[in-house]
Amino acid sequence: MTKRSYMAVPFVLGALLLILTGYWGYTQNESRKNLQTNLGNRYQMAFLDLSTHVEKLQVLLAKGLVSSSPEQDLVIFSDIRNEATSAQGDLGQLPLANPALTRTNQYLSQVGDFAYTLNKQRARGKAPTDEDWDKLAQLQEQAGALNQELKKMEVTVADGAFNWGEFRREANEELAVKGRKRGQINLVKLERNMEQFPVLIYDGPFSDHLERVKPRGIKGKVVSREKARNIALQFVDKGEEKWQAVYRGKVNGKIPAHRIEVKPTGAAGVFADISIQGGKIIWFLNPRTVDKENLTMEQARQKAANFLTSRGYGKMAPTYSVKQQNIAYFSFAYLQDNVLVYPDLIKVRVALDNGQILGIEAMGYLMSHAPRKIPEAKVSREQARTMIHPRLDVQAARMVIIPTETLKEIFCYEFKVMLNGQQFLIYINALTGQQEKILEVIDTPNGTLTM
Amino acid sequence: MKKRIGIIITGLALGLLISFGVWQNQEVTAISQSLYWGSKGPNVVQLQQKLKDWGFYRGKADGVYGADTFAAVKKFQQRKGIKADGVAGPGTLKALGLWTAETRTTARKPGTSRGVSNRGDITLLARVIQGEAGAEPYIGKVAVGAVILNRTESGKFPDSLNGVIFQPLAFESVSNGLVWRHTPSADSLKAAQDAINGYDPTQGALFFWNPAKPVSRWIWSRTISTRIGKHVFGN
Repeated sequence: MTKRSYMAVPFVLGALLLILTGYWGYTQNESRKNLQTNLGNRYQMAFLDLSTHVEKLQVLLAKGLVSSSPEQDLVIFSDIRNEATSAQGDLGQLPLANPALTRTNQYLSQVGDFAYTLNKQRARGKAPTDEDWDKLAQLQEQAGALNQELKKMEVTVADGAFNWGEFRREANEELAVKGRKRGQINLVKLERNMEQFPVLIYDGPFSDHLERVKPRGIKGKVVSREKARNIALQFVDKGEEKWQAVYRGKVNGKIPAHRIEVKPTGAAGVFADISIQGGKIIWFLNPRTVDKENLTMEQARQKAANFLTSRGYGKMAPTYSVKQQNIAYFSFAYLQDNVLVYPDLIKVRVALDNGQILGIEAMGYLMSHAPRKIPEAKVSREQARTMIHPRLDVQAARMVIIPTETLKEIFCYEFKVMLNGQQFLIYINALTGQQEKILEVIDTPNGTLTM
Repeated sequence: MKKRIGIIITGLALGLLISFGVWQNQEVTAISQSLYWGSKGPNVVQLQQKLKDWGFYRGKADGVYGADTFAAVKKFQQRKGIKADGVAGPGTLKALGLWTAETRTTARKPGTSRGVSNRGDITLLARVIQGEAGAEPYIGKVAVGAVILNRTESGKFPDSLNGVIFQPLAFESVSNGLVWRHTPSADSLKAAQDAINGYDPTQGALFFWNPAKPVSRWIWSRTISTRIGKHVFGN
């Protein structure tokens, strides 16, 4: 063995290492490319599916304008809804930074929703009105514009000239937001076009008018910060300790509010929102952890009811409960003339270790509460009962007001019925005798859910 | 002497190569379905590799569940006292350390208050809360949960919790995988549950952002509803 061959050892080692690193890098790069291609294909598929669904949507909307038979209408409207839902699903898979396609998304929600509304009307024997026809025509025109844009892009995408992976990166770097073109793809421009479409107002949950509902339960004078601090301090369940209230700024949401933090000196704070107008508690939340469970749900419910009464919400009845992590949640609905008003909902959060009230959530109540003029029922309880399938075992009935998806209210009989050991709630309109809604009651170990 | 060094070096190189090879193969993913005679694909490769490691299987890990694999699975089951049916179901896969998928309770949308309420939904929401607002005060966590739920109810976003959370580029912690690296804390779980029960400190916000990080100019054109901790919430 010569000295020179010893010198060669590091070189050989170095060379080997280099080869290995090279190999490693190569395989890494290969697998990265592989993944990128796969991802790109998924995006491609979503985009092409979107384009197909929008095309079908446009055709169906046109058919909806032409059709005038109830049977045809039912089929066409439910197809419209299906296509819109599918298109929305595909849109949600495209790699676009957040604001990019919200308007397009909303358009698809509205089309599906509007078709569903028309379908429900049709099922009740009501033909689309002139106004409905105009709206349908408007939506059809918009679908046409959307379809045209998508078809233009599709040419580039189908060529394979468009790299979704890169597009994604660009979107990440927010270049897409600035509207730079990459190939012929310009989804941002598409979105801008969509933004110019007029708003759509109709009787469905995604109608534009529902975004600007005014709270009905808020009345009275504007309260100062100082006053809001006092209100929060008095409302929150404090126990014996000495607490202080700190002003934490304004909240500019559905109900403009003062945000107050109330806390025992040095401890984690309880936050509360007090409406600027009227000084009502919108919610408060005590983040304390509860480790033990000493109270039964019934005892906790009693605590919650007492708390509500002590804070001026006396006429409330419990409707729903659930228990999670040693905290019980109770929903209470407003009771007027023995009619349960479901939209006026307050939720109470109770600690199961000592019964302290850890929170209240009254947004639903404040948005909808007002003294109601409850009409005379035109259908008697017995008549309403005949609307229920004779095989079902009716266990209880009461009068309620339920909210619709469009925030309207319906005066109903609520029947609790059993089928094969499973509980259902059936709502029969007290004025027309129509069946309005069916809910299934699911008993879980932690509470009762209605769905 | 010269020869020996040569051998050492080749050995070293081989060792390295092998370890690379093994390392390359170790992209273990969770198997969430039963495997049986006729199954094919990467899950079967994983199963075969595992059986091979444990000495129950001598053939090639070729990804085809054939007679040899069937026999190997049966042998393994006998040894472990699992019913020897030759089907690699959850029990067998779990015994092999391959079953990591959580069994989910049937998902349904109850009409309680927020449209979501089953365990799986709460955990998923809690994961995103942990990823996006793990270091935020409690009410900031609830607020992030509320924004996600507000999106499911808005026509501007996908209409399911999954759709909103997995919308590409919607949430940073989902894009970079952070949500899967940390189990949600008790606080995040509690916050998810409060958000589902209707608490919304943002009063209807659809967006939140951290002004300390680079954000698009667009975001500042939103109507700001509130600030909590490091986040700004708006519509």
